[in-house]
Parts: sequence; C-alpha cells; structure tokens
Amino acid sequence: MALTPINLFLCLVGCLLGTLIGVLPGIGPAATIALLLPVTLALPPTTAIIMLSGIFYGAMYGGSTTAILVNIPGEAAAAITCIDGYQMARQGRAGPALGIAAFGSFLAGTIGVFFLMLIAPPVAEFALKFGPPEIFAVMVLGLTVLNYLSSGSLIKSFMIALVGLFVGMIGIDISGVFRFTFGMPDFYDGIGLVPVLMGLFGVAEVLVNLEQVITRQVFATKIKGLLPNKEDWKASAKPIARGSLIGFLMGLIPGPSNTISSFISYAMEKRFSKHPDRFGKGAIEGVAGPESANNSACAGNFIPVLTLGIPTSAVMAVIVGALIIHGVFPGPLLIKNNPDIFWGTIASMYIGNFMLLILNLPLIGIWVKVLKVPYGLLFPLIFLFCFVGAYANNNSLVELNVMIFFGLIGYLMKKTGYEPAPLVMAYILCPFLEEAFRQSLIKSHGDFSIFFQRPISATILSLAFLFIFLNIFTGLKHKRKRLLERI
Amino acid sequence: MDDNWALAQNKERGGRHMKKGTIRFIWSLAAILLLVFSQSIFAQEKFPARPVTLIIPWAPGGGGSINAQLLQPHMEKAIGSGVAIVNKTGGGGTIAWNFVANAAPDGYTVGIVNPSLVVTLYTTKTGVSYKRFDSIIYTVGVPAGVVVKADSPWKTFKELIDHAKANPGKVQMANSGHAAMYHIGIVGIEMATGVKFTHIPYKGSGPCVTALLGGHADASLIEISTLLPYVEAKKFRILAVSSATRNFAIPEVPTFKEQGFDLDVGTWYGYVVPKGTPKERIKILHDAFKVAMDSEEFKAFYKKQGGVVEYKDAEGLAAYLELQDKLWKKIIDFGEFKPIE
Amino acid sequence: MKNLDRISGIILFLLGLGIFLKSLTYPIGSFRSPGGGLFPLLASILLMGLSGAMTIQAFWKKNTEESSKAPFFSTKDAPNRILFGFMALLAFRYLLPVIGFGPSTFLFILFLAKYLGHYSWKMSIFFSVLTALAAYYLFQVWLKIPMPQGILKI
Repeated sequence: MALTPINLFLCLVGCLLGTLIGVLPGIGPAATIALLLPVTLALPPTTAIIMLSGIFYGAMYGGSTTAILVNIPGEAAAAITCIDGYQMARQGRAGPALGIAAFGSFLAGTIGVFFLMLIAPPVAEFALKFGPPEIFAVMVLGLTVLNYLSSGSLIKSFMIALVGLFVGMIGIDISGVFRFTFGMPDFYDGIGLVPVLMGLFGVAEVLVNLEQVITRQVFATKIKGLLPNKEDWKASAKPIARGSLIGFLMGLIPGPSNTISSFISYAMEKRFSKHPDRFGKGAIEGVAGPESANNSACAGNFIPVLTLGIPTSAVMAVIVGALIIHGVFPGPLLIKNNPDIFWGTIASMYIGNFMLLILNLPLIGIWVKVLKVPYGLLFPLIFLFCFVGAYANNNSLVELNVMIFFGLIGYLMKKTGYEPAPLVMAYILCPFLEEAFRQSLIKSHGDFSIFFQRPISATILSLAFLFIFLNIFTGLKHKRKRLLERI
Repeated sequence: MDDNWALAQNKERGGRHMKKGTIRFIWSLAAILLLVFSQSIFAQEKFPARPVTLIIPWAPGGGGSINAQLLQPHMEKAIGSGVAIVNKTGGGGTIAWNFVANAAPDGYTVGIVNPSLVVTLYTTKTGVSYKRFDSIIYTVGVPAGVVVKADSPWKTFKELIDHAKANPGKVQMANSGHAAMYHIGIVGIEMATGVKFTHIPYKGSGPCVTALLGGHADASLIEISTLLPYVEAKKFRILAVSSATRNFAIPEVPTFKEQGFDLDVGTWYGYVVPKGTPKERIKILHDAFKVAMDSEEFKAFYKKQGGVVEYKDAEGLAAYLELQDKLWKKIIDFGEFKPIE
Repeated sequence: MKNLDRISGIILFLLGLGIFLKSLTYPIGSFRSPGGGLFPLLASILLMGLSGAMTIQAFWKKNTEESSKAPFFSTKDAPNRILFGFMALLAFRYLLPVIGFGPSTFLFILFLAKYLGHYSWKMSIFFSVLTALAAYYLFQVWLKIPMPQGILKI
C-alpha cells in the first residue's frame, strides 16, 4: 500500500531535508515544501504527500536541536524548549535534553497519529465550532498562561508580552491600515518572526555571555551522559503523556497551534510540578512536555486538512496545493474518494516519526561535540548563523537591522529581568487575537456579551480569568508570607 | 624600355590600382562585416536564450500558483528554455506586480494577473495600473458563487435577497479579506440588489469555508473551484454563479444574469509582460502559453474545478482588462473603498 | 534591581504613551466596527497602567541588600566588550552589501576571534578563512541562498 520501497526512501529524504531545514533557521518548512513542489509533480500523489509530511515533521525535530544547543529556536514552537533545554546544555546535559526531545516527539507523534486514525471526523466537527469568539478566548487563555513561562516577576512578563503584541501589530491590519511602519515598505507585511527570534534569543544570549572574558567555559566541560537516564525518564513520563494530549487537541484549532500547545504544556508542567522553581534552570520536564505537545499538534494539524480539506497553516496550505495539483481535491469526501491518500498520509506519519527518531539519536553524539568547541570560536559562529538565518528569511538587509535591534533589546531585557519568551509568544498570538476580536465584534454589532453567550468561548474565558485570579492570589499569598516572616 | 616604362606605369597604376583595389576591398569587407554584425546587434538574439521567469504574486498552493505550475512543463518544452516560477508574495499582490512592471521589457520577466490587479489599483497605494503591462494571453476563468450551507433556510438566491432586504445588516457575509476582490464582489451584489449585508473579513477563502461550515457566517462569495468538493459532499449549496452562462460543473445553479444583474466578479488568470516588450518576443511567449493551455492536463484539471478554459489572445486580454477595470471601479466607488495609508 | 526597575518602568511607560498617541492617528472606529487603532489603543493603556504601577512600586520599595548593590556589568571590561560585539554586528551588516558575503564573513569572524576571543592573529586568520570558505560553500553554493554580492561580485 503505502509501504513501497520508493515511498519509504522518499520519506527518508523528506525527513533528512526537514531536519536540515529545521536546524537552519530562516528557511522554514513552508518555503522548502514550496521549492520542492515542482519535483513532487513527477511523483504520484501518495508519494508526494509522504515526502512533504516527512519535511514537515523533520523541521519540527530539527528546530528543537538548535534551541537546546545554542538557545536559538529553529522555529517558533521550539522557543519554549530553549528555556530549560539550553540550561540543560549549559550544565553538560545536552545529550539527555536532545534525547528526551527526540523520544518525546516520537511518542507524542505516534500517539497523535493514533488518535487521528480513530477519531478524526468527530473531532474535526467539534473543531468547526470554533468561531471568532472561541478563537479569541483560546488566544486570551494563551496570553494568561504566558506568565508561567517566566520565573521572574509576573508584572514584568505581562508587560513584555504587551510589547510583543505591539511588535505583532506592525504592518497592515485586516482593514488595510498600515500601522507602526514608519513609512518603510519592508514593514508593510509586519516584522519577520525569524529576525526577532534570532535577535532576542541568539544574539542577546551571546552578548550576555560576552561580558565575561572568554576563558571560562559557557558550557560545562564534563558531558554528563548522552541519553536520558532513569530519573529523567521517570520525570518525563507524565509530561510526555500530558503534552501529547494537549498538543493533539490544540492542533485542531486553526492558528499557531504548535506554538500555543508547547507553551501551554510548559505552563501545565510547571503548575503540576512539586518543584516549580526548578523550571527555567534545566528541568527536563520543561523539555519533555513542550516537545511532545508540538509534535502531536502536527498530527492534529492534519485532521482538518484530511477530513474537511481546510488547511490550518501556511505549510498545510502548500500541502493542500500539492494535493490539488495532483488532481486530488481535499474536502469532506477525501476519505471516501481517495482512501489511499488518507491512509497513505497516516502511514507516512508513523513511518516519518520513527525514521526521525532513528536519525536523530546518533546525531546527538555529534551535536554534543559541537558544544565542545571553545566558546571564543563558537560565538562568532553563532552570530554568523543568526545573520544567515535572518537574511535568508526574506533576502532582506532590513531584517538584519531588525535582528540586531532585537539583539540589543534582548540583552537589555536579560539584564533587567525580563524574559524573551512571553514577547515572542505574544507576537505570534497577536494577529489571531486581534482578528478574532474584531471579527467577533463585527458579528455581534459591537456587543461584548458575545464572548460569554457562547458556551465554548465562555468556558475558555472563565478558565483564563481563573488563571489570572489564581496568579494574583498566589502572588499575594507569597507577599503575605514574606511579610509574616519579617514580623 | 617601353615595357619597362609600361611595367613601371602598370606597377604604378597597379600600385594605385592595387591601392584603389585594396581600399575598395577594405571598404567592401567593412560593408560586409557591418551587415553581418548588424544582424546580430540590431536583430534579435535568439529568444529565449536563458530561462524565463514567471513572477507569481501569491503563495504556493494557491490558485494562481497552480495555474502557472500546470502550464510550466509544457511551456518549457514549447519555448526551448527553462521557465522558472518565483513566488513574490505581499501587498495583496502589488509587490510582484510592481516588480514586473519595473522589470526590463525583454520578455524574460512575465507576470500573472487576475482581477486583484485591477482592484488593488484603487484600493491600495501601491497598486499597479494594467496599462503598464503588455498583455500576452488569457487562460481560464473560474466564476464565483454565492454559497450557503446545505441546511440553510434559503434555497434560492431570491430567498436570500428577500430575507436580506427585510433584515438589513442581519445577513452575515464572510469575505476573503477586507477590500479583497470577493468582498468587493459582495458589495457589488449590494449595489445591484439594494440590500445591506454585514461583512466579516477573514484571511483567504479557506477560513471562509470553515466559517460557513461552522455556522459562523450565513453566506459567502467564493470561487466555485473551492466550493465544488463541499457541494459534492452535500455540505454547501450554491445559490447563484457569476458567469454569463451556467457553469458546466453545476448546471442547476442559475447565473447572476438570470437574477437580473450582471456582475462578472469571478476570478481569471492572464499573463503579461512589462510594457514595451518587443512584439516578436510577446508572440513567442504567447505561442508557448497557448500550447501549454491546450494540453490535456490543463484542460482536465480545470474541468474538475469548474474552471472555464477560454482562450483570449493579447488584444482579447487587453480589452477584457478594460472591461474589468470599469466594472470593479464602479463597485469600488459605490462602496467608497479608499486606499488607506 | 530597584534602580533598574525604575528605569525600565519609565521606558515602558513612555513606550506605551508613544503607542497610545500613534494609535489615535489611526481610525479607531467603534466597537461595532473596530478600526485599526482600537486594539493598540487598549493595549497601550494597559501597558501604561502596569508600567506606571511598577515604577511607582520601585520608587517606594525600601532598599534591600541584595539588589541595589549589584553592578549592571558583571566585570570591569564588560561595557567595552559588549560595545565591540555590537559594533562588529553593525559593521558586518553594513559591509555585507559592499563587499559581499564571503569577504564580510572573513573580516567579521577575524575581528571577533582576535579581539573578543583573544586568539592570536595566526589562529584568528586561520579560523576566519576556514569559516568564510565553509560558509560560502554551504550557504551560497550548495543551498543557493542569494547573498548580497557587493562590488567584488563574489
């Protein structure tokens, strides 16, 4: 059926390419898939889809690698992995971090595909109920959960998230108004994500490290093992399970589901952990959960495409385009009319996940050696890497300026106690948040109660408010405790 | 002695003669060389001597991109050189169109256009006038359909309009983008029938479909190629279609004309080059495109999509652009869309 | 941290104020049909509120031992090193369109390795040439990323 040697081979090719793409920022999966579209024209549709899915998954795996090694997320969803993954690398535990990311992604991906097989149609119908008010509610929930990403001050993380919102507002909005573009045409479509990521995460981190004369090692010299040990597994089991579930559910909702699911998973693990202060300092649960979530979200992403023919992201849109060119018209009847495509895609996801695990595990040994390069030589390479990524994103020199600017901002932020993750997450959420907000108001003719009249959005918004309330409450509790201690 | 003198004279004359001859020879040689080189300097190099680039203003996977991708392999065979597809997205298509309009008119840069070219001229500050292009060919038109969910209470277009007339602002129309062509198309329906809808903007036709399926909008205007799978699955009902004659894929659906108004607001794809491109090169491109258009794959693909493969040559496309310009401008003026900065 | 909080709070407040004023220049619309300026307006008000609160709190908080004594830069040399690094970034960015990717990379890596990495000239040159060549082949030749070419047309 789908397991012909040629399909398997091309799946491997796709996975390899995808991993490479994921490791090299600035060249995202959508662009690559688009580049390869003419090539896939020569292939039968099932084979083409298998190869493209391989690229898609591979990019997810590759993106986490650089996040852990050098604090540079290969794509937005991996930004969460930076938080604890990079700290683990600095402690000499890059191997276990990479390992648990690979295993977690594999397990979650497999679970996700399994769910996909079983309950795709009814779940897709449920996802349809998410209209503008519901999407707004989900985005608000995402924003409130952002606070859990920081180990620092709550108010600071909220404020920096607002700054992220503003960065996201740059460019043309849905009514055609150019906002905050300062007359620069390069900003008409907004500031690119990649330069912001490169600057905030990559450049800023290097700048902070540069303060020390580089005789000491930034990365611990003694590598503590290449794979996760028993304790790591014990700690990661539940996060992987929870992450898989969250990711899959969120993957159904249109929007940046991979990213949202990864940070909701992080927040959840932190909340449920018995030692929440370990997070941000190299807690393996902070890698296991989010990595699992963003991988099973990939499976969730496929559901609306396969059951209803609706792409949920740019990458999916290209995949749908590929199907259309091959004469397959995705829609509600895809399962009936082209069962080979449907099952072929599902099989490819299993196979792809497995291949990626096999591919990535031996690579861990190589990646870990990269960190042994003396930092004095490594940091210029990191800078170069950021430059190429930011430039290649859009062949734009202006985006290099953006990257350098955010590098400076990120450096200042680190020195004054603000964390970069909330900014990036808010930036990603902003267009969806605002669009859903405005669409809802248009629908209701200005009536705010629309958000609370509909059951789904009301539930989610209440959850969000509950989170905020709990946050303030525990914050106050800490303050009281400290006050009491003084007395 | 005489011989000597004669010889000498001859020599002299011969010398001069040879000198004259040499000079004449040199002049003739120069004239011949000039002629030979002028053929290559002033006449055309063989066109195309290197790959031709098709600049697509939209992301891959979309209708325009697919149109180009279907034509590309056949064009390459017909034209003898490579045909590269480059996606230059942004600005609603205006970035790519500006790029093509400003490119050297040597026939190596080709642009694809659709109604948005005309629309963005009036709705954006970066829009490009179609007069800055020379037309090559028109390939296909995909009409738009007014669509509702299959379980919607309105079974005919008239029912929808009557309801909308009785409840101004209550019927919610999803559109694929504020001031995008389908939004303007819906405003055109308002103009023609005198109703008032509420317009909910989404990003693209895909989200409109989702909104309809989920019941978050009452109706929409979308290209029928996107709609057909859902009609087949009995999820959608198309109430009316924008083409002048009924569409072969949905023959039971009446046209706008049958409802009493004419709004050619469907989408179509044509190809252009920067103005001033030499006519012979346009012809070469045109012929290659025509061969590609006539291919079985192209026709079969659009047959499944409800697309009407129709050939219009360069003048035909140019004339059609003028018609479209008048039509869209009329609706844009009615709806008071202004370019915003 | 107290001083830093005061400064960052003020900066964020000013940012919020700036955005507030700029959003007023965009169509606000109404809640019925929200315009482009509505959302930034609301968000900027929120930012001003929060940053104002934090700044005020920073002014009132009593001096605690841990925070206010900690210097901004961790070593004496640090400001120079950061400045150098930053200048190097800008130099790379502006050299790129002038002399192209390969040569700019070479210079960039060279100066960073020498002055911030404290390697010898020999080592720095060796490393920067190696990196520039590798980067050239990897990104420009193999991956075919169109890099700026500069006057040397490399």
